[in-house]
Formats: sequence, C-alpha cells, structure tokens
Amino acid sequence: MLKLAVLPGAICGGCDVALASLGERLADLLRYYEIVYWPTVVDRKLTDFLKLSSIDVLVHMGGISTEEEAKLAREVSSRARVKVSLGSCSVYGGIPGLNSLYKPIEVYEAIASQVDVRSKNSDLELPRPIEYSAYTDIVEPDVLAPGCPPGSIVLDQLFDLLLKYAETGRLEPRILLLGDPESLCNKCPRNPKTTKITMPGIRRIFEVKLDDNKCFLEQGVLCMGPATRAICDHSCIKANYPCTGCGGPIEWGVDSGLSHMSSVASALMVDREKSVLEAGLARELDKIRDVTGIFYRYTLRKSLTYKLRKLRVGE
Amino acid sequence: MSWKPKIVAFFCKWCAGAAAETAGVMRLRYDPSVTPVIVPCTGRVTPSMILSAFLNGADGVLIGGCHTPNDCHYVAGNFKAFKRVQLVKKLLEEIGVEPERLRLEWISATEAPKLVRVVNEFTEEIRKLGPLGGKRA
Ligand code: SF4
Ligand code: SF4
Ligand code: SF4
Ligand code: FES
Repeated sequence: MLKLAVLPGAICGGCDVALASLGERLADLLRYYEIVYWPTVVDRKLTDFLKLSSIDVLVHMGGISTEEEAKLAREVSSRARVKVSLGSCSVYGGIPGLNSLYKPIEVYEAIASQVDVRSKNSDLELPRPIEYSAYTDIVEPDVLAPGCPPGSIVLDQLFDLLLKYAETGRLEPRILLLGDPESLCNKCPRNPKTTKITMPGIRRIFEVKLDDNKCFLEQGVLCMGPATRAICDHSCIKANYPCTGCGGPIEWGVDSGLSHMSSVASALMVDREKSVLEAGLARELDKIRDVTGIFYRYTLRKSLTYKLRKLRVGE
Repeated sequence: MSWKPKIVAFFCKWCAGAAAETAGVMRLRYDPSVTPVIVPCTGRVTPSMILSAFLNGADGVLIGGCHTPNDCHYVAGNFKAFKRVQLVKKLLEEIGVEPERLRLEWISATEAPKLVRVVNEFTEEIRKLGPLGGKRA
C-alpha cells in the first residue's frame, strides 16, 4: 500500500470538498493507497502522522500564513516522494494572496478587530501571521493542480495521475501543471468563434440583462476566460456567471493579471475607438474599480505587481 | 544628491523613434537619463514589459507612439497602447506607485522638438518624484 497524506495549510474548506467530490473514485484509489493523514476525512492525530518517516504522495492544500504552517509544510514535504500542490491558494497564493499589499501586522490587526477570542476559562490566542505565501513559494512541488477549488478537468487528471503512479511508480514529466494548455475561451460554449471578441463598454453584472448564450465580454461584463487556463468545464459560465480566473495563467510562470489587462485592452470598443477616442475609452476604463482585486483575484502573490510593490516599499 | 533618474522610453519606430533620430541629426539635446527602446508599434508594448522596466531599475517609463486616430501603421496599435496604459496606471496607483511614472505621448516623426520637450519634462517630473524603490520619505 502506498501512503497518501492530505495536508491543509490556510484553507477555506473548498479544496477539501473538491477532493472529496472524487466520491466513488476515492474508493478506487483506496485499492492502492492508505490515507495516512487528512484531517477532514480520517481520524488520525498529527503527532502520530509525524512519526512516519516517509510518505508516497502528499497533497498540500491552501497557502502558508503562519510559522507553524510553514514548518509543517516543509517538514512533511521533505518526507514525500511526490508532492501535489492543490488549489489556487497552494499554487498561486489564491484570494488570501491579495493581503500581500499589506504588512502582516496590519493583517493581524484587521483580523483581531473582528474576531472574538474570549472564552470561558482562558482567552484564546490568535496565531501571528507571517508574510503570506503560496505553498509553491516554500516547496517545489511535482504536480500543480490549480483552481479555486480545482475544476473537473484538473480533478480528473489528478485522479488518473494518482492511479497511474500507483500502477507504474512513474510520474512524468516532473513538474506538471494540470488542466489543458489552452485558454478557457477555446472550448467555451459562448465563444463567438467567427468574429473577434468586442466589448461594447464596461458594464457591471447587475447593469445588463444577461443573455445566457452570449460571450460575457461581448455583453460588456469582465470575463477572465481569455487568459485563464482551461481547468474546469466552464462551470461558472454555465451558471451564467463570468470566469473570475481561478484557474490561473495558461502557462506556469505567466503573470495572469497583466494578461487579463491586455485582453480587456484588446477587446474594449475595438469597433469604435476612432469615434469615442481616448476620452471615451478612459471613461469606460474608469468604471473598473479595484484593478488588483479583479485581475489578480487568485494570483497576486505570484505576480510582477507583487514584486513591484515590494520594491516600492523597500522590502 | 548623486541620484539620477533612470527612464526607459518605448518609442514606436515609425514616429517617436524617428523623431528621436531627427533630434539627433538636428543636434537637439535631451536628457541622457533616458534609454530608448525602439518597438515596431506601441501596440507591441505589453503591461509586463512596463512592469519589467520598473522592476529592472527604471524610475519612469515613457511610451511614444503615432498620433490618434489615424497615424498608427497597424491601424489601432496606439489605441491598444492607450487602453493598456490606462489600466496599468490604475494598477500602479493601487499598489502605491505614482501613476505619473508612466506616461504615454503621441509624437510624429516630424515632431523632434516635441520629443525633446516631452523627454525633458518627464525627466524633470521623475526627478521630483524621486527614486521608485525603497520609498525613502
Ligand atoms: S483554492 Fe479556493 S477552495 Fe481551495 S482553499 Fe483556497 S480559497 Fe478555498
Ligand atoms: S470571454 Fe468568457 S464568455 Fe467569452 S468566450 Fe471567453 S470564457 Fe467564454
Ligand atoms: S469558469 Fe473560471 S472561475 Fe469558474 S471554475 Fe472555471 S476557471 Fe474557475
Ligand atoms: S505604428 Fe506607431 S503606434 Fe502603431
């Protein structure tokens, strides 16, 4: 039996649910794997788990926000043959990565002001956050499984890969970004295909009566599909909600926030530039509030923008 | 006061780039703190090129392209540049970098004096803003 461990860092629980949604296929995996640790699913103490000197596959979910998480992630990773980084928090820093615009102490104070730590006997103590990072910032994983949480394409591939690893003992290539190497638009049921996508302007989602067959960008609603890796079966789009980019960049190492900005710049009012001119374009672009939060919702921690911020504040 | 601003200027070869050549021929002086990078069209300048310039030591980034609406040799590369620059300026502001460190100007091949004026003005502005890195008060 191979040993499989699932270790959470800073998680919301969504990745747990996504992994558990493998459902019956988990039973297939159990023919080869023994789950030696997975707090949500199996009952095993961390101290007992840490007695194991080696494990075969480690799945790490979530980012790293405290010293304890960092220590544990490094410790357990060093004992694992194959390390899987699961979910966009783990791979790219995810949504909590947006806090890298603030100092850890500011993050701490914001949390402390909202959380009640009083308890009957002795007050609880809030853990001190360190500078938040992705799991991939502290460990070099073998498999990257992005998504918030990972979508069906990624989960299917992960399942196949774990099964194949169990059967052959081989994993190729060494660093593997799951999902299909194309943009989410490529197979999107709403892709206009025949024409280039044109945005008529910038509209908030509540300002338009959404046509559920038409490309979001063509309705003026920001959709991150053009620069997002195909990791899901267009789940948001099928629910009539635009892609917010949870799959991360199409290729590892690309700054997806900047790619999203480029794709919006390419599509916005391309048919009317020469009549609305700079003033008209600027007026539309000004409707985009929170550029960082929209274009970097899941990937700020891995971006050039993050590095520039650091340079600016002298860190 | 030994600090000198570093500026990267992306010039379209058809207009601002040609104007820079002309300025040279006319022996017009412009500030030597500017490193020109000639591009085929401003539509070629991506947000990641702009951020990389800042990350590699530029205190300011200047982009010079063909006049709108009709002078771009690739129809609308200049409009694309305008939209990208607008978005990048908003991003810079959100992360605490003065958006004035990024500037876009339309400068035709015959406007060598304008090029010189823009370059000098921009250099002066960046000098006033101080170094990009390390936010020393
Ligand atoms: S990637 Fe998304 S679903 Fe997974 S832990 Fe992070 S926030 Fe939750
Ligand atoms: S922009 Fe969004 S809605 Fe349009 S084709 Fe791409 S993924 Fe589909
Ligand atoms: S549509 Fe976009 S945001 Fe939604 S699950 Fe797929 S990649 Fe993530
Ligand atoms: S050719 Fe000069 S800006 Fe496009």
